[in-house]
Amino acid sequence: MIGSIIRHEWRLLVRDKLLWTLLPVYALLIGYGVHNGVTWVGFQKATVTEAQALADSSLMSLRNQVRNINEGTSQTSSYMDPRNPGLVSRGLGFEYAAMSPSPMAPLAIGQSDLYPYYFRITRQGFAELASTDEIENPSNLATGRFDLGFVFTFLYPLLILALSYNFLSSEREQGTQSILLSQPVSLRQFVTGKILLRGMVILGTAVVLSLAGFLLGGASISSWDALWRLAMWIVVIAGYSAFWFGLAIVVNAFGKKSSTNALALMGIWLLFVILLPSMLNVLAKDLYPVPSRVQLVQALRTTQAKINKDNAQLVTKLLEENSAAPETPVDENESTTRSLNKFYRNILTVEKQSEGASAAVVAQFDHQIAAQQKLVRQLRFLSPPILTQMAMSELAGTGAARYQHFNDLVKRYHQAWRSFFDPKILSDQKLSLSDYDSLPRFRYVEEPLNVVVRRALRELVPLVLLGSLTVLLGFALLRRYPAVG
Amino acid sequence: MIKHIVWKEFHETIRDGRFLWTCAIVAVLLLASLLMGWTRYEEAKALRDSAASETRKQWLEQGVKNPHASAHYGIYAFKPATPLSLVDPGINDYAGTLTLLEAHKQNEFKYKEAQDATALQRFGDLSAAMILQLLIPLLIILLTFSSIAGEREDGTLRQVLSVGVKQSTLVWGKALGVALTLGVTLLPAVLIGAFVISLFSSADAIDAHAMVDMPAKLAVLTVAYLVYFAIFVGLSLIVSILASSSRTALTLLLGFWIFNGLLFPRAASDISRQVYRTPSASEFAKSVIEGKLQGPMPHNPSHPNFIAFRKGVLEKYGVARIEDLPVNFYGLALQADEEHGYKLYDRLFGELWKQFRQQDRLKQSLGVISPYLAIHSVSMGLAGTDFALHRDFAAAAEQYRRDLQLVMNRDIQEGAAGKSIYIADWQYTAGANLWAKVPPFDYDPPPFAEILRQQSLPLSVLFGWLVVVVFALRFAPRRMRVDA
Repeated sequence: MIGSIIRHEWRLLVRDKLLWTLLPVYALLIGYGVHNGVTWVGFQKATVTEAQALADSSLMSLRNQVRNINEGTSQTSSYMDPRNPGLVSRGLGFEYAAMSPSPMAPLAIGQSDLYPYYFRITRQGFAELASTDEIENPSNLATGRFDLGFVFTFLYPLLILALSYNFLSSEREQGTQSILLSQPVSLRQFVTGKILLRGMVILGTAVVLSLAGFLLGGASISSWDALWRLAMWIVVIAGYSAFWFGLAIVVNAFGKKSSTNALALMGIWLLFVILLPSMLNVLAKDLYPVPSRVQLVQALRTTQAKINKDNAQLVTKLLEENSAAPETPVDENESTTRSLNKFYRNILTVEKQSEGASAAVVAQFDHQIAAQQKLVRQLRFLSPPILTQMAMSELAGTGAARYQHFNDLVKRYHQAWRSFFDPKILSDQKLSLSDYDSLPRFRYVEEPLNVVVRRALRELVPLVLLGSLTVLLGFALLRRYPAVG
Repeated sequence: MIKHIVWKEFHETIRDGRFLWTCAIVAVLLLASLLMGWTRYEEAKALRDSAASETRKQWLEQGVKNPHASAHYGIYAFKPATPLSLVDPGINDYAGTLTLLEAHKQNEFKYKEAQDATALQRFGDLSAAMILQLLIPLLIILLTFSSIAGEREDGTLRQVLSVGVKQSTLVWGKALGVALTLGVTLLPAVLIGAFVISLFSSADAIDAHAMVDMPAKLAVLTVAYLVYFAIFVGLSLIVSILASSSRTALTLLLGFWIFNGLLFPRAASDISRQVYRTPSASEFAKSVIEGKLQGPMPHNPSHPNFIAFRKGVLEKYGVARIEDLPVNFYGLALQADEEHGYKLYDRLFGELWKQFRQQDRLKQSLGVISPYLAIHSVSMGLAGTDFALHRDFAAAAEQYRRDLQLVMNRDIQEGAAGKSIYIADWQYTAGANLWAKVPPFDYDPPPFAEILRQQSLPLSVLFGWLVVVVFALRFAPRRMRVDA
């Protein structure tokens, strides 16, 4: 029975001008969205390659300089000595710790334009490192990107509503409702058939178009990881579609005119997609304000100032020793090198102390931010568009969690960089060729798939639940549907 | 005659429960957004003021150290909050909040507030600007889409015209009726908001600098928004007149609203990015490193640049040893390195900021397709939350940094005159007297005339739209179909 309803609806829909006007527009929008995603991912990949090449060439050039100095074919000066571990670790040498975009990244730009995806690693504190934001016009960042995530979250519901706002009311207005309902067909079967057909057409087109664009953009879905993510992506879209179809059923169940339905659904779209998220955002900033970085920076400077004062004797000792030396030392280079090494040894102690004290401040700050963010994230259950956006970002590998994972890896590497150089600084050792060869390099390790899947499920499950509940609500309301009159 | 039409339209709207509720909700949202915006501004200002005074105190209480070391210690500059950000927060969450002014480097601004927020942030702020730029046009559309087309379908259009009302009078009457409804919705919200703000704002929140041009800015802002609303009233009326049914009118207008406020701004951003490309951060860093290698290299005595510089200085002063120079050589080398850096950074940042400015100008000119882009730019510009102010502040902070470096390097030049590089670097120290020579950093936002000049393009686009709409409104009534 439902099968014949579906076939009938298909014939009607295919002859409706509306479908053939809307579908090309959507194809265009989806294509444009995928194009933007692909371009951005291409830019990121090129930048990562370039940054890594920069680090490679810099370290290679330093290694070559060491070889030349050892062979005696060139000389160096105190501040440029590639054998000085203090100098090399603090900026003469550097590493670029970079994260390539995930293979599904073109699907949703998410937060990837906001968070840094590469860091220039030197010995300095992590707080000083955290400033390699990608260069972008702030007003473009504020506006947001026209990516596939945007098309699905904001515009796709309009397609659904445009094709289903009058699926029951049009029958009544055309006068065919009483004829149809007098058949041995329940209203439920009727509605199921209509919605299923529309759902299959819309969902099918959306999936095919985005896949096509994705593959044309040069991505590959050969790995198990990509297939899983794609499957979950389709479930996200299906859940989101169910929500909007459910709303269409709910509104149609009240039995009002088509024009009333259209206005009501438009208002609901406006509420859920535009008003509710922005209101929740403003509320979140008011109720759960995130501590300001301005305060953090000042707190760190104060802590550092105190440590510096406490360690003033280290500095004065340095001055005393130097003033004991003759006014014009015989070999400026030698004295400079000695003073430099002593400075780096002393500063290491001071920095360790300072970071020990700062660690508490930073930890508290991070804790506060995490707590506020957690509370804000609870608000996402109030709005399916937020759930959809977050789920899509997670699956595309452009969500905040992946950047947190990258940050953790960078911090760990930063420790390794320090552990490599610090003992050599403290023991006044010169760097050799074998040291350069054994210098640890950064390797980005992707999170295991089950971690990503589990995180995505946090949004996917509520979305599917909300979608199903809305559809069920719609069917429940159909009981009160005024079949006559 | 027109008074009667206006009054009738207004009464009909008020009596319609749906419109009454919609207008009331919009008014309440506007009031709430104004008050919340003010609270955030006060908090931000208090934070920045205390941070600025603290960083100055830290600078003055550095103790005794080498002037170049203190130049490396540096001072933080915090981007100020502007009062009108309560209306339009603009790019505030997406541009860095602070920067370190230190030796040798012109740093970027760090810590965008959006980075510490959740994904919810990307859905936007329900600010007064969003309500005025997105929701009010929607309200206008809902109030106006059936003003002519609906009357035609109800059959009352023929009746009204048969009484002797001219078509143009009817149309202008409807327009003014909508304007009256809007005024009654918005004006109380704005006035109550302004009253509450003036009542509860603390004395510190009002910065004399920022309030200087406030009346002029408020006036232009109000006029710009009124023009934007007028454009929508006119456009909706034209579509209502020309459309075949009120349903078609609504669909067309809603489609335009979605295109204007949602679709096209993002597309315009993308277009501007593709047309005026900017380098990646690593590319920029690479250019800086390569540029610096061309400088005098004061820390590398065996570098050919350094040797050439040293030779030049000795020749200029006509001496044989650097200890015979009337000023300290290390101080000269540091200042020469800084000045080489200034040229480099002026070129690199200049190119980057030029690209951003071109991107913004392109978006402003695309306002001929979507008036949202024009009002968006004007609103941010007058509120002081656009990139122009950020750039202005960055330039002012950079100038302060350069002056600070000059004071430090001059002190080394004069104070360690006749001494070797080693002594100037490792033994020469200065104290609070020198630190106090650097005045506190004080920033004045650009004058109103400058802001007006920057916004001249989007303002003309808005007025252009208004002229076109008014012109079309003069001729559209002639094509008014009287019967459905």
